[in-house]
Amino acid sequence: MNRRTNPLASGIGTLVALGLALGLAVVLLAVLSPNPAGALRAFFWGPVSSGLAWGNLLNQALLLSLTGLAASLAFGAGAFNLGGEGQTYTGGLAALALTLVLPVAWGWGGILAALLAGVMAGALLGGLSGWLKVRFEADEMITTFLLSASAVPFVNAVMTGPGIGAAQSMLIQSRPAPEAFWIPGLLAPSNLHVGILVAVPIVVVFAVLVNHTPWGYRLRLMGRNRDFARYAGISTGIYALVPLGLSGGLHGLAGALGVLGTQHSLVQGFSAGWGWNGIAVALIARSNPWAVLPAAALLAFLDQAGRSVVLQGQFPFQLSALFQACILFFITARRLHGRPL
Amino acid sequence: MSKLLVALMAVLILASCAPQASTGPASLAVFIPGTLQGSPIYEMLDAGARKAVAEVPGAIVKTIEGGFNQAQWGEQIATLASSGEYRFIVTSNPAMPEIAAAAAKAYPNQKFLILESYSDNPSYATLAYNHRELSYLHGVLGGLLAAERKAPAVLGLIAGQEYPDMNNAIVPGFEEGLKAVSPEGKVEFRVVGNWYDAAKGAELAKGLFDQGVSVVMPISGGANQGVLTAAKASGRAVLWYDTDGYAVEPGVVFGSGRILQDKAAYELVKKALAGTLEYGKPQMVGFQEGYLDYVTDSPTFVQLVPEGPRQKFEAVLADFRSGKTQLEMPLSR
Repeated sequence: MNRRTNPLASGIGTLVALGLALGLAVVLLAVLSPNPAGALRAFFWGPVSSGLAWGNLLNQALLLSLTGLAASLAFGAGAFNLGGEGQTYTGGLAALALTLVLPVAWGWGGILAALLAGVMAGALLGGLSGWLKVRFEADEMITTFLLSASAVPFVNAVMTGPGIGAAQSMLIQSRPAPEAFWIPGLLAPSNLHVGILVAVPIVVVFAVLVNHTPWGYRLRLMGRNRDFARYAGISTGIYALVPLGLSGGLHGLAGALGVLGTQHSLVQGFSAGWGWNGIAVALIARSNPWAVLPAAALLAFLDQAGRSVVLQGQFPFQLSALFQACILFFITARRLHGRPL
Repeated sequence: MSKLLVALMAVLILASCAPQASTGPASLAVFIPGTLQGSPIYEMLDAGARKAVAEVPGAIVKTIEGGFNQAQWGEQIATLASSGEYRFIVTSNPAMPEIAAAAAKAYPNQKFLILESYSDNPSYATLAYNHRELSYLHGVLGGLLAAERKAPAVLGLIAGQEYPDMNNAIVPGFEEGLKAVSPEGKVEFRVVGNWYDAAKGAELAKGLFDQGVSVVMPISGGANQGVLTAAKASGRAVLWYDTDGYAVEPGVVFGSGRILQDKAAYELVKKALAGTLEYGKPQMVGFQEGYLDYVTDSPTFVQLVPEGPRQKFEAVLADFRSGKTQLEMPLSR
């Protein structure tokens, strides 16, 4: 058993990477911050320092679980979904648009319908790339990215357009969804809401499906060796299309939850980074759905910690992103993980 | 083990929810909805607040940059308020009353000083500028410049986005000013769709120039740079909206308005620290109150604007400064 297959060895590798990343964080904060002690306190304590901080941390972790799971499913099947940003954003638009036309009497039924609309919108966008791959052998890395890059400005244009745009708002945003369709919040005024809790069972269900069912076995086989899977009689077309559709659907769900649970309207840039960070989660989790939740929690903590340092006035805004990138570099370094995607 | 973890988490949450004291020296956070660098209006906000804090022994000020994603500002403001570290949060943006509403509700003891906005929320001290007056003067100068160039009386206005003040005060004010000198004049209004896309700004400006527009006013943040580049290449004039912009692109910026945000921030913060600031009573200020002005003493202005139009413009400006001419700012909230 080598490091590629030994979970203990790869787990140690992840812990070493995490230790190096946190060590780097301490060094960066000490060198770049005018108040190293305050910055370190803000970094390690800020994300858990209040109910609000906990709410934001949990909400971000669960959102990233969804987008991380989405990226993992695609990666696991050997497909690279680089369109998570656009799929998330489009899911938010679909959910919001439906709430604007549904009767408010629908209540929770309307919320479920809007979430489903978000899932469908994301799935369509992701599935389209899958179809292009099956039908024309178009590289899904290119098509998911390009479709996403087109979807974002499209959603931006629609959100301020006739019928949807908020005429009396100073923000670039849509009209708010009717209050009947707002998902109840938790730990106000944090971003957390009851809807996002659905991420946990979804991750568990997909972890079981991927790791303990024939469907999951075929999916993983596709990811490891597509040619071998074909020779084994697996319908590679279906296993190219379905994971991308599912991946898009989960991204769309994240977008819909962000709109109905946190923002209550479609605010420009509301989901910025969720798609890309989902890829980072999948990298940390090595595309294993069971590892998605802790990986998302780790990434959410790092992000909230970076923001906390900036908000405590200890760090320039631009350096926060650099700082997070350095940490991610260590954590995602394949050499330390000892196993490819 | 799992029970232990749950118990530990509960203790941490409960401990962290405990109210924090706001005693001690006056502390103030300046929240920049964007970044300081390249944003003169926010640099003035910061400078004004810091000047006031420097006059109070022991008072502390921290400047926090929120970045450009408006969807994250609410969370950031709420986090600042929840920390209990800052007696006052000072910021500036017309959208901020809306963004900070949830934090103001959750933390009623937190006071917000919000410039460039107008709200009667009892947690806020807000001060808004009369954009109708400022854009009117830009319209007057633009009309005079277009006439001097024998160009059609059509001015361009390129905005980052549409918002109530833009639609209800700035565009109409700009057109009113233009029509005061060219009754048949009209304004061509274009929207970038964001506050950073310089390429789109240049594209929109070029489209306007191709239609014969000779003077354009950009209010589009980072996209302004694209407008300047296009204007320079086409030999057209730019009016710079709210900060002294003659040096931004010499020879291209013909006129520059000015919002004295540093003065406003200084006065508001000084009153707040002295305990004399009134909350929930928004102020609207303009030329007569001394918070708006037009930079006419710049050698560039004197050099670029011929004497005839310059004298006409300065006469109009003098009437605004003295209060002889006043325009009512439409309230969009």
